[in-house]
Amino acid sequence: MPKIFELPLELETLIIAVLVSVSCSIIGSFIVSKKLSMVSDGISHAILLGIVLSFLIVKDLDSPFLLFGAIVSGVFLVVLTELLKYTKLVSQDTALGIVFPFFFSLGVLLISRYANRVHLDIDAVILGELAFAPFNRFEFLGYDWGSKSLVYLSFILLLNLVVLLLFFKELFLVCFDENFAQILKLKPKILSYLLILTLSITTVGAFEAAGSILVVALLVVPPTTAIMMTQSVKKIIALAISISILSSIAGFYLAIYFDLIISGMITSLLGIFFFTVLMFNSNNGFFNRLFQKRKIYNENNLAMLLVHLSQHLNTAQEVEECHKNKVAKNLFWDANYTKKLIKNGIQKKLLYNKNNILNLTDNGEKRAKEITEF
Amino acid sequence: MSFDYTTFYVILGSAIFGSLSGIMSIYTVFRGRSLLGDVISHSSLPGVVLAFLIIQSKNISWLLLGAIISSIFGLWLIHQIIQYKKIKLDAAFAVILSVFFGLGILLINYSQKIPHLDQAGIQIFLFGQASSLIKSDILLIAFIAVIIIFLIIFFWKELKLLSFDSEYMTILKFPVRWISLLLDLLIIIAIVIGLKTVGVILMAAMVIAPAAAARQWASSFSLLAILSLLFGLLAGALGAWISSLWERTPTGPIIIIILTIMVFFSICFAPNKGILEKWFRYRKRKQQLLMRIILQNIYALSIQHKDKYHPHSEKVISAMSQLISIKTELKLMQNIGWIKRVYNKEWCLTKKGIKVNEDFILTKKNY
Repeated sequence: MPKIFELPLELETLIIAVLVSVSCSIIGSFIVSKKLSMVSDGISHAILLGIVLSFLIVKDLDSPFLLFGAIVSGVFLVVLTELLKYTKLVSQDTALGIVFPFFFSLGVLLISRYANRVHLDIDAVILGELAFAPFNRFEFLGYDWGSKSLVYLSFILLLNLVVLLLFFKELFLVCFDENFAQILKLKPKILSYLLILTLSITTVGAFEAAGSILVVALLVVPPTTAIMMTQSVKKIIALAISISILSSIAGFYLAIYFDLIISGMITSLLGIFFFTVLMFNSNNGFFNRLFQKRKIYNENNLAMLLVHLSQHLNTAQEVEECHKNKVAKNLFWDANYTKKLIKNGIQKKLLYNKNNILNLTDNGEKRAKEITEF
Repeated sequence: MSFDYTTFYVILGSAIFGSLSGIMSIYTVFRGRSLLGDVISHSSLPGVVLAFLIIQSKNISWLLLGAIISSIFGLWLIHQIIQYKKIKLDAAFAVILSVFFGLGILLINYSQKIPHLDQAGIQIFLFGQASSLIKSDILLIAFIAVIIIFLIIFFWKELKLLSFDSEYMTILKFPVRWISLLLDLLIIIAIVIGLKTVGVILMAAMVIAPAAAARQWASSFSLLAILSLLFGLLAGALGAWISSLWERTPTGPIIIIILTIMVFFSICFAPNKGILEKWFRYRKRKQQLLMRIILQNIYALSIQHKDKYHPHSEKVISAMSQLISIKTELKLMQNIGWIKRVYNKEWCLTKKGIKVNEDFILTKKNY
């Protein structure tokens, strides 16, 4: 069959990986913001039921009807969870944790009893293997357009981009403040279900190539990492996309080098990214929080120094109090520490050295004034 | 027919595990961490594989130990992540769940490459295979269950306080961190020993459904615990038994399905809160309100004729009340003696009805 695109297998797999990453990062940013992260895990398991039911109807493993069934069962999971929550007798998490195992159980039961001889490999559903994705070709009008995953995921990426571009502001408002969106008559219920539908479609399209665990990881980890780094939603999406593309490409090559499963490698890389940011993020990272106390201590002392200088400069005691070497004694500080503090102050342009007398710069004066007039 | 020990052990093991997870579900659901079970089961995978790679045996004790350590690490990480105010609990759960599991998959893949390491058992952790429970497994599960339940009874008050008001507990100078750690550990152990029965994916429901069902019937903490234990036990035993009756029926899914049925049944039919009862009460109140409105309208109509006993047809009454079908309400009113039927199928007030309505007007009571 003549090929539309002549792509080496490796490149095709890589393109599929990138397509999955970008799609998942886009919809994932909304999902994480709306506190639906665990719902994506639930959907990834619940779609098994849809697949099995569809298969039992059409009896053809390659039929696209299976995808349709999967998407429907994903949305249905959320509908059922909402219904349960509506009774106000269980919380959202509880409802989710009851419904998706139920769906999965039904799926496994049906497979065991009615589809046992068919090779519906549950392992593949969970694990997935990107390396095999290019082998399933998509044939249309007598041409080979590429692998099935390539075609499906291209459409899914398109869908995600369209949803993002058309409803960007409304969707994020619904994610962060549904009540306000309701007041503005933006129909948050419909937008919510649009999100869920897109999530379901993306999950279904991706899991065939990537496996359900990689899909959940791609949906949740890059946006969460991005949220740690920035507030702006545009930046969150951009960062999430960058992180996931990087992890996918690096993971792909690393997996080939070590001859390991691609989805596992990419997930692990995403994890490493996440923890690096968690540990080392400025201001809020784990390590920086440890040093926070010290930082505040030093800042306070610098402020004290500035106030001291502002009180004694241009007075009779100027030389005695503000001399570079005498400051330590006057403030009862260790000499070495004071030296470092002065250096810090000079670096921050809060004070300067004039003939060994410490003077305040304009900024320094302003700062001292702020403190004393508090 | 000789006694089938294999089936007996499977049922026994499932029952014990069911009761244990039933009790632990109290401590996950009512603390607002329902999906903790899902997280713990997924994050145990790398530990299992690592234990397997390091110890190089399929002895279940080592694998369980690995699972427990891995889960503890996962929970610790979640605690750290939550300190970061921007990340919510559910996002932290999802991140740890997927990353740990992915790591586990990677390790499984790695272990498959090492020659002369037989790793078939690990796949069982994914989906459970209760039918492969043997006597030694049961003994282990029973032993651990007894210890856990004993600890829970011993620390009953502390754990109860921890679940509902840990801040008060800190004020009372309890070692909250240690007790919290103990509880987490107990939950982890309870989940890990059940992995072989229901598998990683279905574990989430085992520590949610019993408590969710129990909540519909009881409010007192002790009663909730007992009910959850019973629900879990029943689901486990029944599920294992049913799956043994038919071929090609895996145990885990049946247990979950039974639990789900229990939850739905409880939600619908439980007294006071059950949906069915709520609906009936709603209907009854609505009817009573309509009856009063209709009574007032009939009275108003009859006043216009300067005869309180003047009859009117149903159509006229419904037009006046702006209601469509009032047959049931009229019948009810007849039953309690407010109105009576006269010739031509028309309705008129009775003495009682007139009195009732005039009372209403005087006191202006509206219920």
